[in-house]
Amino acid sequence: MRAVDFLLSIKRGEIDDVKLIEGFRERVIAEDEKYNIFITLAEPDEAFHRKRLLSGVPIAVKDNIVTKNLRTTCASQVLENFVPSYDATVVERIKSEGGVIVGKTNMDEFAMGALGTTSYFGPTRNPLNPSLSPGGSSSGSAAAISSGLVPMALGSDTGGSIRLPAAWTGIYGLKPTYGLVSRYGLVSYSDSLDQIGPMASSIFDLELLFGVIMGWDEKDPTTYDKHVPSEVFIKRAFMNPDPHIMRNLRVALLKEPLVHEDADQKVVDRFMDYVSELEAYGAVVEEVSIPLVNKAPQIYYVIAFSDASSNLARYSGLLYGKRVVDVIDTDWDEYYMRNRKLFGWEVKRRILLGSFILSAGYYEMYYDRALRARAKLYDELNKVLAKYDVIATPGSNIPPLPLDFDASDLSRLNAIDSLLVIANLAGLPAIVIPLEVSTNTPISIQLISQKWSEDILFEIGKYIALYISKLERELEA
Amino acid sequence: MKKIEFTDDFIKHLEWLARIELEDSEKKRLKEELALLLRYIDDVLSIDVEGYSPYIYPKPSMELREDIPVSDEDAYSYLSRLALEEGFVKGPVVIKKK
Repeated sequence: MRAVDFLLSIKRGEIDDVKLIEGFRERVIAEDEKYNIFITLAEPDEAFHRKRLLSGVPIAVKDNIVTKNLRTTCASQVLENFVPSYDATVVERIKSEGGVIVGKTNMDEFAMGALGTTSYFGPTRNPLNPSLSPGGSSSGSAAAISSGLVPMALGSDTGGSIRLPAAWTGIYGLKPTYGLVSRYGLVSYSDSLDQIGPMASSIFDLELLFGVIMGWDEKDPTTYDKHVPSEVFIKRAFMNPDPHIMRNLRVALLKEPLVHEDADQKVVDRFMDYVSELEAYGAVVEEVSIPLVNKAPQIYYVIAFSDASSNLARYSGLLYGKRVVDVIDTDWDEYYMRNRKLFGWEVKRRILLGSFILSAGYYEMYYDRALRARAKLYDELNKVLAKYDVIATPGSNIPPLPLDFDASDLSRLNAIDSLLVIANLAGLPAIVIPLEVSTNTPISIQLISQKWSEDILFEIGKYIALYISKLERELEA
Repeated sequence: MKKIEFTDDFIKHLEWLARIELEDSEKKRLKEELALLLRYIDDVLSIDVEGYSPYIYPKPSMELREDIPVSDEDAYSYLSRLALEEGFVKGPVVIKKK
């Protein structure tokens, strides 16, 4: 059931608002065995705020977003026993609107990974096909929605971590404009790329959750106070889209992900069938080429790994993190180095490479240059967005990879990274909308628009969900 | 910049920079994967960035809030998880006894 329908039924007095969380724990225990979705379960609390926007809606939260008195591990042994003393701003906003936080979802360790397989607590499986990866790093949040356990969840997206799992599990996901959702309480990986965002089984629920969590926050100085008011999104979450939205919509079809040497031709062909449908409904679609997109993952690696090496320096067992040795047993340097052995391999290699990039002689060579290349990419994307309403790509140009895929195969990862990381590098909003859902080859579309224009993405998204993919009709039925 | 050689000394230097001690098997794996990763990110060097300044934060003009202390009624309950001794919080030892 969609949360928006549930909430309307409560308003009309047809059902009680504790109905959705009844029996939740039993359902989770049954499903979790199959997919390994949750790291920590909260006891569903019936003492939520009544008669508010999300009253009684069960919501899952990625385990890198802090929750008061509820363990937050970042899927790492390092934070295995960390219980925060405060809520992230997004969690606080959900609770104040009556939403019920039901648990913390599995993820790649410290959000580092594309397959949901680097978690200390084991990999998450894809509910569409348990032998496949659900995509990472917000793997558990996506699986919680795709398996039908919750209608909505929070994820975080540093280089596609909301959108890839959305694409591979057949759900909706939004990476908001950088600065439109507070990062206060998000465990940092790469500060200028990280962004919290909503994930949902319905585009209407996605817009509702976004409306609740978005907006300026005095606790996050990178948030912005000039944007479309949250009330607009909340109101529109219960409304059908503008019926004329497709008429003369200018769509830039990005060439590079379609002709990438590792793109899957079947996925691309099926995606193009849907692009033809957009045209049939009145959109003007033109192909554009930005060759720099193919090198965006390399720019991303340099910046993100360097940031990670700095951000994760705090986990030494002193202020944060598990302590396996004390200073009293050893000297200060060894204390630091031995406590940090607890990181998993993917985290270690990113910190190691990041530390190298930032070291004397290499900072200018790699890091400074990557920041300049980022400026160039930002410029090139915005030139396209000055002429078109949105840039379109597949949500993923390959089908979900098997769980045992060798993540050192950078070529296939480049195919998906290149279409995803561009939105993070430029701070632009990007939405993934499922087009068809199947056990091996789900098809989706990603739309990227100008900063602060999430309202356009939701209007187009709703139109596609209702009239082109028709997936929303199945939820309504 | 001279070509990087993945020697034992180089790996030891990286361990030191990152402050992470590696097992022998991890050192071997790191040598293999670093070669691939560095070749991959070397693509950044071929991008013509003439005329572009470093782009760090999408919104560079950050405003900070007033630093006003707030009280947390639950504060004592967090402290009680640590070892409280005679009104003091007992932290980890951070200096070595001589």
